[in-house]
Amino acid sequence: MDLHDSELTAASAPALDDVTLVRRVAARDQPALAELYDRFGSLLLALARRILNNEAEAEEILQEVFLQVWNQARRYDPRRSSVSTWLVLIARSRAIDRLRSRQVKDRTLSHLQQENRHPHTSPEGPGSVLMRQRRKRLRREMQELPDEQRQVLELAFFRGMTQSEIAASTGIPLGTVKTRTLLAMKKLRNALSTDLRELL
Amino acid sequence: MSDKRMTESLNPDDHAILLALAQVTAGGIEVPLPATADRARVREYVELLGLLPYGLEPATPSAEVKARILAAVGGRPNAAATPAEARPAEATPAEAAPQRNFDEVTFAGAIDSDPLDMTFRRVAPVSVATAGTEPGWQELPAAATPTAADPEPELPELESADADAVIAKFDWSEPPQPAAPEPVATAPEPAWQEPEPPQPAAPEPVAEPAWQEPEPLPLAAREPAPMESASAESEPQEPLPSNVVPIATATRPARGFGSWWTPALAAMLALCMVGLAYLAGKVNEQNATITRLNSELQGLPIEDLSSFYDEFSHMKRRFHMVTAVARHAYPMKTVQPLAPGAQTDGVVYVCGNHQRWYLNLQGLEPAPSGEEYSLWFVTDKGMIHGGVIEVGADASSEMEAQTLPQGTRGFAVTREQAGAPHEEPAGTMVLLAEDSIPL
Repeated sequence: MDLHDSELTAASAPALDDVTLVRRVAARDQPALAELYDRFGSLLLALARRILNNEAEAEEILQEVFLQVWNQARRYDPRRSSVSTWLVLIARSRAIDRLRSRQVKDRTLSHLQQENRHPHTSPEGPGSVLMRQRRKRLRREMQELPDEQRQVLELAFFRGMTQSEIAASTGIPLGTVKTRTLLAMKKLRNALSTDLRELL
Repeated sequence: MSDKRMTESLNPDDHAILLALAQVTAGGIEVPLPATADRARVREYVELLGLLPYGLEPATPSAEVKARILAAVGGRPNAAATPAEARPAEATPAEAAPQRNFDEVTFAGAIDSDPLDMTFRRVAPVSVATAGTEPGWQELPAAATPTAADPEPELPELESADADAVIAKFDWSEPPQPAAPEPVATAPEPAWQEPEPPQPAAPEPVAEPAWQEPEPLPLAAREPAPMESASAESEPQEPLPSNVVPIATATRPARGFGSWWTPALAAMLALCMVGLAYLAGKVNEQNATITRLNSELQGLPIEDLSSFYDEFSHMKRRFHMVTAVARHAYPMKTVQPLAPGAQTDGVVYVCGNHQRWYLNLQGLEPAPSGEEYSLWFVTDKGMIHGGVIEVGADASSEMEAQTLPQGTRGFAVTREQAGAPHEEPAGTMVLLAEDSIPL
């Protein structure tokens, strides 16, 4: 038998869960950082690109995020959030800071309004089966949200706008903004309960 | 609805949503929550917000980004071409470096701090309007150049255009002595002769003749003179003076071919013999083992042999499959541990024809009552049920088949309700194999 036993043994070893991976990164394990990048790099880049609408800046944000992860991995607390959410919030924070420094909210707001008229119809992209399934569910649930609810949610998350800022920029009363936000969040919570259980 | 009425009508769930949004907007999960907040519920909504990017169009980062990150954490210089993670959150526009205008008149005050101007000397400001004036810089005084203080060594005068005659008269043991110039020789060159020994007496200073251009040699004179062997028989040997040391004729020792090859060759042969002896010993051991096994085999009862051969055929079939040409292995990775601390390993072998496959699972905990494990083929068109997995007493399981659904690019194991229709996975995914290794 000419099987490469060592390769199979290494390849068939169970994949590390995300928390263990972050612990290893905190212990200065570079392969662990590379593995974390492979798992979440595309997700974070998509987020940064969505916020900044600029590929080059999005890649800069991606690099900054993982350097921050390398330096602050020991501060990650699994009781506060999952690794995925932790990374997403770091990337989001940096991207929005960059966005604010550019002061292009008005331009991106009009761009967002154009996006709402054309829902996402891109084909399935690369990634693991789990990621693809989760992406499919998210996309389906977001598309099923009413436009006005999806709009306020996207402005709050992808543009970093407060409720008051959303009300001011869209002309919608603040109470209405809050109501739409609450309805959207509750709908998504009910629809994505399986995914939430995996993260909690 | 007014804001006040809105606030009063909020339930705990709504409070949690707004707190989650406020926490995320404020900067992340490290922002402290009020003491009265329902942390579990707030976290649930924070996680929900963390799922939103999954609905975006996928993006593939360039390999350069990963390389830069790994280079930066590896500590190599010039690793990060882009700004490091220490960029402040509130980015302020970087102040432009003061532009250096080399058209400026004066450099006073700037030279000392500018390393680029180290070669220049501070001078008084000079107006550009002044005609013919150089800008306010001047080079440092040049280093001292060699002067004519050291007299150059005099070259010996060419006494004759006849080079051989000059060489013949040149004594290599003493500095060259000036000699009287000789007329140009038109006759054939004289034969080589030993240089004349120098006179022991100190030479009298002779006025050096003036330099004159040597006349070109005639063509006939450029032919080399025939060399005559300086044998003792051809010409008489004059006794060498005391200050002339004859060059000892050294004989180069003959080089033997086997000076160092022989011991090297002998060492190699010795090593070969040692290796052969070792291999011979191993062969003898194997032969002894084979003999012993044969004798044991002959002592086995027939019934055990029958089951043995059945099992052997079974293993042989699977052995041929896993060793077939152009096969792929799909290692199963744990998605959800079956139990705390449980470790389940598995691999699916697929033949090169992409039809025959063989699954082997180890460490598979028995499914809870009312549940069963199902194998799924991950294809381009979705997931196709591959069968119910039977768990053996040793927590292992094997499955194989001769066909594979078209477009299969992975395998998954889920825990489903027993007897439920197998249209699509509805339970928890426990194992997943989507990367193949060519063997």
